Amino acid sequence: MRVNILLVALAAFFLASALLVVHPHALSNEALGIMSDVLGKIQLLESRKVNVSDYVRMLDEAAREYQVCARSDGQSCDEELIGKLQALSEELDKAIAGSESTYYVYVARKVAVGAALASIPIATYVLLPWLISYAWLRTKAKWVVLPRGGRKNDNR
Amino acid sequence: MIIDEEVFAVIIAIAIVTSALGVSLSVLPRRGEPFEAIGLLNEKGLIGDYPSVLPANSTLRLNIYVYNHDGKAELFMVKIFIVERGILPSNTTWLNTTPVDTLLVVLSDQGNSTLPFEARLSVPPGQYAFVAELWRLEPTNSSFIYTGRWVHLYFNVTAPLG
Repeated sequence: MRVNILLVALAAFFLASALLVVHPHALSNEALGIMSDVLGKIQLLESRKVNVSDYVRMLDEAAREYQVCARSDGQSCDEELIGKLQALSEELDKAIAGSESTYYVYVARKVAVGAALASIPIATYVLLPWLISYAWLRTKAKWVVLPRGGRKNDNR
Repeated sequence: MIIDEEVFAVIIAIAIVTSALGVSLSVLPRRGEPFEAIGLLNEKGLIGDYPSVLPANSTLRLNIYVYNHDGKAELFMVKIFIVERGILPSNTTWLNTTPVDTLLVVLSDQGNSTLPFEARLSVPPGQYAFVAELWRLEPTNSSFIYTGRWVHLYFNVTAPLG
């Protein structure tokens, strides 16, 4: 009796799982391949210090639109997604072609900042005594030096 | 020298420490431990006040929070399951059943997103678990990899209203 109840419960559970009213969808291999390609290009650009926020947003929008489409009809969604991804991939190829100069500028800027920061102790060692001497002279430039005792011995 | 030599030595020492700190912070790459995170939020997108009892044929509404700290842009897939209470994934094993839904999101480094989810519960009364697993697209082999991150929520389904 218990076994029967258990079997009925199990059957009811699996039936119920099948009845959940949500539409799962899976990317086709072609769409997944292009999506991986696009993501790989975005990551390559990112490693070259190019701002990829626009490309990330475009890929995210394409993925979200695909999901909306797949939930509604699910027929031509893959083709639409592939079309958008191919257009994005072409844009990324152009960006990759021009990304090396961006990377060199980034490296040059880093080196310049590093050199400037590294020169702080040397600059301090060389310039600080001079600056203090200069400031000392400037602040005391109008001072009148009098002999000890002031005007006491002035005979005019 | 106008300033005392000892004072000058202290100033030089401070300059050296400042310089070393500046170089290490601004020039050397900062590589923290990469990770990604998934969180469960209620219908309003807040922590807590999750549904615990739902009548059959009602709609389960939740939000999934995803955060990327991998140091690069990532495409995540959230696989959603509604399974019998007690059937849960672990950090190394995922649920080997068909998800009821999947959500895709692309996040830049340190980006986050809140993904709304809803499903009508056409299930008989009983105890169930809502499970959301986080998967990451690996571009080198065009496949999704389980990150080991998942969240779950237990809830009871009661007889339908009316």
